[in-house]
Amino acid sequence: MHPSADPPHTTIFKLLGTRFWVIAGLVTLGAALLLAEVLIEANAFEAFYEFTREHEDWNLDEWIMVALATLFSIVLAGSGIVLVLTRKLLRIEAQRRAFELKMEHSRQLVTLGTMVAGTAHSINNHLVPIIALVDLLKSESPADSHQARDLEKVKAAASNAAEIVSRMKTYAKTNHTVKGICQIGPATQAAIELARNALPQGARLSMQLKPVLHHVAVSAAAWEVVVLNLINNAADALEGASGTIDVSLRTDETPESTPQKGPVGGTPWVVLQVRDTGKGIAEADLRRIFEPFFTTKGLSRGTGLGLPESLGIVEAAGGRIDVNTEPGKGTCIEVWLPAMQAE
Amino acid sequence: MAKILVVDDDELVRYSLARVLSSDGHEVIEAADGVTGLRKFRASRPELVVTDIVMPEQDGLGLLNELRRIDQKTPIMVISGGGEIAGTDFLLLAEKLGANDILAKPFDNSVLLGKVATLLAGNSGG
Repeated sequence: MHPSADPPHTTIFKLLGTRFWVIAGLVTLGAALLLAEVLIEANAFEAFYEFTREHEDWNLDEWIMVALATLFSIVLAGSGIVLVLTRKLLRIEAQRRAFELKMEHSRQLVTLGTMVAGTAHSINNHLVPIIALVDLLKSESPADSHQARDLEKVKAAASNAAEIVSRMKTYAKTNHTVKGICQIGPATQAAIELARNALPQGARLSMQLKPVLHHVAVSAAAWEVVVLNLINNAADALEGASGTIDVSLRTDETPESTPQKGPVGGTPWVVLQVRDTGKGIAEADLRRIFEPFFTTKGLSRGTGLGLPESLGIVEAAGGRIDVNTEPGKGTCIEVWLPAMQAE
Repeated sequence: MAKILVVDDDELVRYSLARVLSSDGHEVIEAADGVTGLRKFRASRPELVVTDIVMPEQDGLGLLNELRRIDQKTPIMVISGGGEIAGTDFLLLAEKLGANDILAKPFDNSVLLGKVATLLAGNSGG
C-alpha cells in the first residue's frame, strides 16, 4: 500500500481555471468568425482563385501546400513546447509552495518553542509552592487521615501538571533531542513489549515484525515514544470494547509522493503500521489530529501531544505519518522512515 | 542546623522553600534578586546558597559568577523552572559555571532536602 492523502496532482486545466478556458474558447471562436466575415466580405476566395489562375506558372498550389504544412508543424511544435514549459513551471511552483510550507512550519515551530519555554518556566514556578506546601502539610498530618489522602491527591494533580509541562517542552524541542540512530526491528520489538504492559482488557495486540535490520535516523528512546503513542491511541480508540491492534513492520519502495525526500540508490523505506478496529476518526477531527493539545479523549486521558510529538520525531528523521481511517471501523496509521545507507 | 540563603524573585517560591527548609531545622535568609542576594551573602555568610536563575537585576548565573569570584567553598545549588541559552539548558550551564548541584522546579521536598543535606555534609567534611 502506498501512502495516501497527498496533494492532488495539479493539471494545466486546473491551474488556469474553468473561467480562463471558457473565455479563451469564446475569444478564439469570435476571432475566427470575424476573420471569416472579413474574408467573405472582401470576396477573398474568388480574388485568390483569379490570382492563381492568372499566374499558373508560379506553381502557387505547391507553395501554398508547403506554407500550410509549415504552419501546421509550427502550431503542433509550439503546442508541445508550451505544454512542456507549463509542466516545468507547475513543478517549480509546486516545489516553491512545498518549500514555503516547510519554512512556515519551521517558523511556527520556533514561535511555539518560545511560547512553550516561557509558559513552562512560569508554570513550573507556580507549581513549586503547591507541591512543596502540600508535601509539607501532608508530612504534618496523621498518615491515615482524610487530610493526608486529600493532600496526596492535590500533589498527584500538581505532578500531572508538571508532567504535561515536561512533555510540552519535549514536543517543542523535538527537533533537537531526537537525533540518534537505532536499528528499527529490535527497537520496535522492545517498544511493543513495553506497550503490551499498559494495554486495557479486551485489547489484543498482534505483531508481524519481519526481521527489519535497517537503521533509521531516530534515537531508540524517541522511537519508543512514537511506537508507544501510536499503540496507546489505538488502545484508546477501542474505548474499552474488545478489539485488535495489529502492528507490523516492513520495508517498502520510496513513497511515490515524496520523491525529493527519498533515499537514493535503492535504499528502502521502513514502514511501521498500527491498525486498530476501534471507533475511527471523524472527518472533522482528522485535519486536527497533529495539532498540539487537540484531543478527543477528554482531559483525564489525553494530553493532545502524542501525535504532534510523534510527527515531530518522525519528520526530524525525514519521514512521514499517513492516516487512513473509517469512522466506526478503525484506523490505520503508517509511519514511513527512510532507511539509512548501509556502511 | 545550617544557615541557608534562598534567592528567588517569586515570593511564593521563596516562602515555600523557607517553610520546607526551616521545617528541617535550617535558618533561612531570603533575597529577591541577585544583587540583594550578594549583599546578604556578604552580610550573613550562609553555609549554603540556593538560587533561582531567571531574576531581575542580576540573574542566578551572574550571582553564581560573583559568588565564585569571592568564595570558592560555600556550596551553591541552582534551581530553575527551565529555559535555555543557544540550546544549552540553564541548569547544565549553571553546573558548568561551578554550581555544586542543580534542581529542576517543581521538586519533591524529599529530593530538595536530600540534596541540601548532601551539600552541607560535603562542605563540613571537606
